[in-house]
Formats: sequence, C-alpha cells, structure tokens
Amino acid sequence: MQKIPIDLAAPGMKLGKAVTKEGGMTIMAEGMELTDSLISRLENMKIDRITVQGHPVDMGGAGSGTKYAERIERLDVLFRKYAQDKWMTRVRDRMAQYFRIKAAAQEAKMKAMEALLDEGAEEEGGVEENGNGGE
Amino acid sequence: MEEDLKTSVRGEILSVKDLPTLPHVLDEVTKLVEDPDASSEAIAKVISTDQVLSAKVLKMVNSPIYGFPGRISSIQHALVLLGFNVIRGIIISTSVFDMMEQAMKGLWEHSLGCATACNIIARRAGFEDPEEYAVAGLLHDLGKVVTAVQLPDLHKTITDTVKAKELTYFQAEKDVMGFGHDRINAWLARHWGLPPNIREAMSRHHAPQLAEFYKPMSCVVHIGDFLVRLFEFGNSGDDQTAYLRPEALIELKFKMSDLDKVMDEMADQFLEVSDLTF
Repeated sequence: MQKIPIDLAAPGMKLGKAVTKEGGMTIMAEGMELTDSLISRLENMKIDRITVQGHPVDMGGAGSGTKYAERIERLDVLFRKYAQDKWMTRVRDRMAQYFRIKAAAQEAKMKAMEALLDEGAEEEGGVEENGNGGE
Repeated sequence: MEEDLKTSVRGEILSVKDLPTLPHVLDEVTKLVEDPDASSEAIAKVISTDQVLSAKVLKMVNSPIYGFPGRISSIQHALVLLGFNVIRGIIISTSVFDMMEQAMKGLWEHSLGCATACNIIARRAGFEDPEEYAVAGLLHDLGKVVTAVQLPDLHKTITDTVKAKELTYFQAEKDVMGFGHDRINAWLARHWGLPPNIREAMSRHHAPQLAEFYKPMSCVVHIGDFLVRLFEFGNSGDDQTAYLRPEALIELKFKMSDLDKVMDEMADQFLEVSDLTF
C-alpha cells in the first residue's frame, strides 16, 4: 500500500484504504478501482491524499530541486540534536513522510504546468510572429 | 563572581529607563480601556491620532494572519472585530521591532510566521478568538529583541555562543546570562500590562507542560514555534527545531494528521505573509 497525493492518482489504481471525510464518513470503499471521473470527484471534495494498493508511484527522488524536496534534506540538520531521542526521531520521520508526499504533489503539478506551457508555446508561435511583424 | 554577573545582567535588561518606549497613544488608550464608560469609538479616535501607527495597525490586521484579509478599513472596525488585546499586541510588537531595523528582519519573519501558525492551530483545535493566539505567537520572542536592544554586546556573545558551542539560542542565553528570553518575556508582558493568557504563553512557549493557568495557549504557541522552525520561515536565531513536547499535542487532542492539515494551510499563507513589513 502507498499513500499518494491526489495529483498522482491515475485510472486503474485500486484503493488500499477507504477514502473518508474528516468526520470519518466513508466516501469510497477499499478496493474500488479509480476512474477519471472518480478522481475528479475526489479532487472536488478537496481530498488531497489517498492510499492505493501496491506501490504504483515512484516517489523516491521526486521533486528534486523543488521546495518540499529541500525541506526533507534539511530535516537532518534541523533535528541533529535529537538523534538519540526516540520521540523526536519519530516526529522527524513523520515530517519527512509529509514532505515527501508534498514534494511528489508539487512535482506532479510542475510537470502538468510545464506540459500546459509547452502546448501554449506551440499555439502562441503564430501569434508571436504576427506581433514581431507589426514592430 | 559568576552569580554577581548574572544578577547585574538581569538588572540591566530590566532597567525601565532604557526599555523601548511604546507609542504615547498606548498609555492613553490603556487608561481609556480601564474606564467602563469609554466606547470603542473613543479608543479608536486616540489611536488614529498617530497616523503612522494607525497605518501599521491596519496593515497588520488586514494580513491573512488574522483571518480578515483586506476587509478592515478603520481602527474602530479593527477594535470591534479583533478586540483591544489583539490591537495592543500589534502596537507593541511593531513598536519594538521598529527599532531593530533590518538586523532583526529574520526574527520578525519568524514571529509573523508563528502568529500565522498559531491562528491556524487555534482554529483547528476549536478555540474561540484565534486572533489572541496569533498575537501570543507574534510576541513570543520579544525578549530576544529587547536583549538585542538593551545589551548589544551580550546579544553578540549569545549569537557567538550558538555557533561556537553548537547550542540552541535558548540554551546559549542560559549559558551566557543565566536565564532565557522566556523569563524576559514574562517581565516585559507584566510591564506592558498584557493579559495573563498572552503573558503565560509568552513565558511558557518552551515548556508548555509547566503552564499553570492557560495551558492551551502555551501549547498552541509551542507547536506554532516548532512548525515555523521546521519550515525555516524567517530566522529564530539558530538553525534547529525546538523540542516538540508530546504533552502539547495531547493537550490540544491533536494527532499527527492534524499537523498535516495545519502545515498545508501554513504553506498557503506564508506566501502572502512574507512581504509584510513593519
């Protein structure tokens, strides 16, 4: 099972855990297969993390060079005094997990935006030529 | 010999004559507040006589920290919405940081970040008046600023000690002065007549489990300080996290997943808060 940001959910993935609202109400049952419409419905309900079966998303190294990825690296420095402390080590690991999820989401968003821009550049190509011609 | 030094340091920090002077209007306003017949209109009028101060207060109350971004148009409106304690806290923090100029920009950002976090945490915990928690967060490191103003040499020794002995700023303060900014906070809060809940949160944010009367507020500031350091928003004086007391999470009935939600909101708001100046 793997916890992933909703941005990385893809049709065909199966829920490893039921999706619940904050109050505990179940929205989607465990084992359900995701489809495009189900994913967008989850997004509309402001669910930002889900747990899926297997290990479909490679989050190791994801988001390098982005802000959340840097946060993960900084944890060693920030927690250096508490390496021997059991509780603080667990806190650190929990924060690392949070930042990893956020880093992966951030990277997915960046990629989506880049894809949009690439598309836009092709379309804008013609417009720009016109603009230059006018000058 | 060493004890003598510590006693004299305490005397110097706490000597009233050099303490940052607060705007004159604050004295008048404090008197008005004690008068049961005074209206918020009258109080607003007094604050408004200081135009620079009014502008600063309006800028702060309209920041996302207090939850009414861009919607408060007058001092009176601010007083009614946020209450006098919040406005007084804002006046004190902007006045004290004012004197520090750029040198303490990092600490100002750290304080703004902590205020933002405290508001979010207090709302998540279901507490009333989250703005008061935000002000406690804004003021939680004021003792550091005052040390820097009153005793610049000592302040330098502390920052040097942080690096040389690999201590946290709080430990270095104790190493050099014999006590930390938590003690200075307690004294300042009393001197400036801050309400007891904010006073205790300021003096107990490093050890909220020892808070006597206002444990929840102390715990909120404790967690806020931890999270802001985790995000390294601004600069608290050293580059380490503070110890996160599990008692603080238990007090607020928080699970780790609550912290996830708090951090989500913090990240959204930090972008807007980061360009607030004083």
